[in-house]
Amino acid sequence: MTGMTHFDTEEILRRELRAAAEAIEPAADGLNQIRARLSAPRPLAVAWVMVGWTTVGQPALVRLDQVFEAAAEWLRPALHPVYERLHPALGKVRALFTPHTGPGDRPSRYAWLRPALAVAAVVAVVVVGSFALTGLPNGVISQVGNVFGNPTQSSHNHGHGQRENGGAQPFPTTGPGSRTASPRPSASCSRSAKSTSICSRSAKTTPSPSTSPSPSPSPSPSPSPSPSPSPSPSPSASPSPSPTDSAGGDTAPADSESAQTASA
Amino acid sequence: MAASEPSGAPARPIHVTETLVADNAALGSVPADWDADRAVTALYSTHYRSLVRLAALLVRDVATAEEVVQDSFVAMHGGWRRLRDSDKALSYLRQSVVNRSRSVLRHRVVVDRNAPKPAPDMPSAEHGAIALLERSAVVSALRTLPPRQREALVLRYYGDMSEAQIADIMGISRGAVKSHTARAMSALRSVLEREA
Repeated sequence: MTGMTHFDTEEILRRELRAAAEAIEPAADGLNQIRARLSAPRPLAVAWVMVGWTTVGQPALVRLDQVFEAAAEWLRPALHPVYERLHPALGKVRALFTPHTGPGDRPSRYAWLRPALAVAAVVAVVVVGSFALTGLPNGVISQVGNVFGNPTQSSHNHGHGQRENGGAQPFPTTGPGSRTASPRPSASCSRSAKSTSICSRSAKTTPSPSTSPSPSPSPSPSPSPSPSPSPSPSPSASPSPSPTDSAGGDTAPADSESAQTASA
Repeated sequence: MAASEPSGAPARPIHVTETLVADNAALGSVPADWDADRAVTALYSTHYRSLVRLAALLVRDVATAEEVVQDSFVAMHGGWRRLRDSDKALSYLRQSVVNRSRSVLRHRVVVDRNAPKPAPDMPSAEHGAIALLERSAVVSALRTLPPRQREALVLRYYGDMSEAQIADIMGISRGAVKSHTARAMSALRSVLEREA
């Protein structure tokens, strides 16, 4: 086949492909299988929805228009006196929040409330959205816990010892500052005997080999009481989760626990 | 294909390119006002075998090829109200077969990557079907090509389709079809020359 021309290759390919294809014989029951697939029952939920739509939904939609019209006709005489009575009051309330009710009217005293309320609503939506999307509440809770709860936590944990799985961890490493600092284990844990025992305990509780204790004083903006390697629940000796954990969302229980401890 | 085929469609040897190239005359027999069931039956009797062969050349497995084509028929049945035209239906079927074959190959790559390696003396389930297809050196060389190039070659030299048709079926431009075909032919030629 040396020195094959393009035409030769094309011819050979065409011939071989046809020969290979003619050797293929599909099964005889192909149409039956297609029909079986076509008549296969739909999932029950889909079937119920379809039946409900065809038997109930569509007729109801058709009749709903008539129902609304009839209801409006029936309610109009009954509601008209109420509307007449409420209309002046509603107009007064509306005028309160309208900057200019007319071309010659004096602006209302409360006219500024309307744009202020609009701005406040936008701000509230943005804040709530950012809280919901970024997991900021955990950070805020942890920061609040750091600020207000550390002394309490220290005394509490001196009394009860270390809680499991970083429960007494005052720096839950979910805050933005501690996130950057937590992956780097400092030498203080390995140097001191006390902290070593704590580290080994934490290693028992968290079997992951990457669970390196992060006893370093984290550069988080929170006022950490002492970066010492004492067994106090200071950030240094706490069995902090692994760096990967601290970056992820697995620290939420620790956060909530620290918040609870702080609140306690 | 004898017993279950629609009445009036006798079992007959179909030449490979018979249904893929000279379809337009046969397709004219599917009126636009037919319902989906009748259209499926008519298109099955004329094109099922050639489509299975096309799919088998792409996925290298007859059983999978049949599944692919049957799925395409089911999809065409679902979209018959939109198609309502036999030309469109056949084009839809071909395109669906090529796309589903591509999906099968993609899925197979993932499965092969994650599957445990079988014992050396244990042939895989598809071994027989693939061996049947790849007795020819050309077809086995075709297997070494990238999927797009293989599709272009099969549609071009098995289906005898024009570049425009191939571009339509593969969803790429005519220039890309030319490029795929030229590269595939070059690679295939080098493989064949090396084997010779």
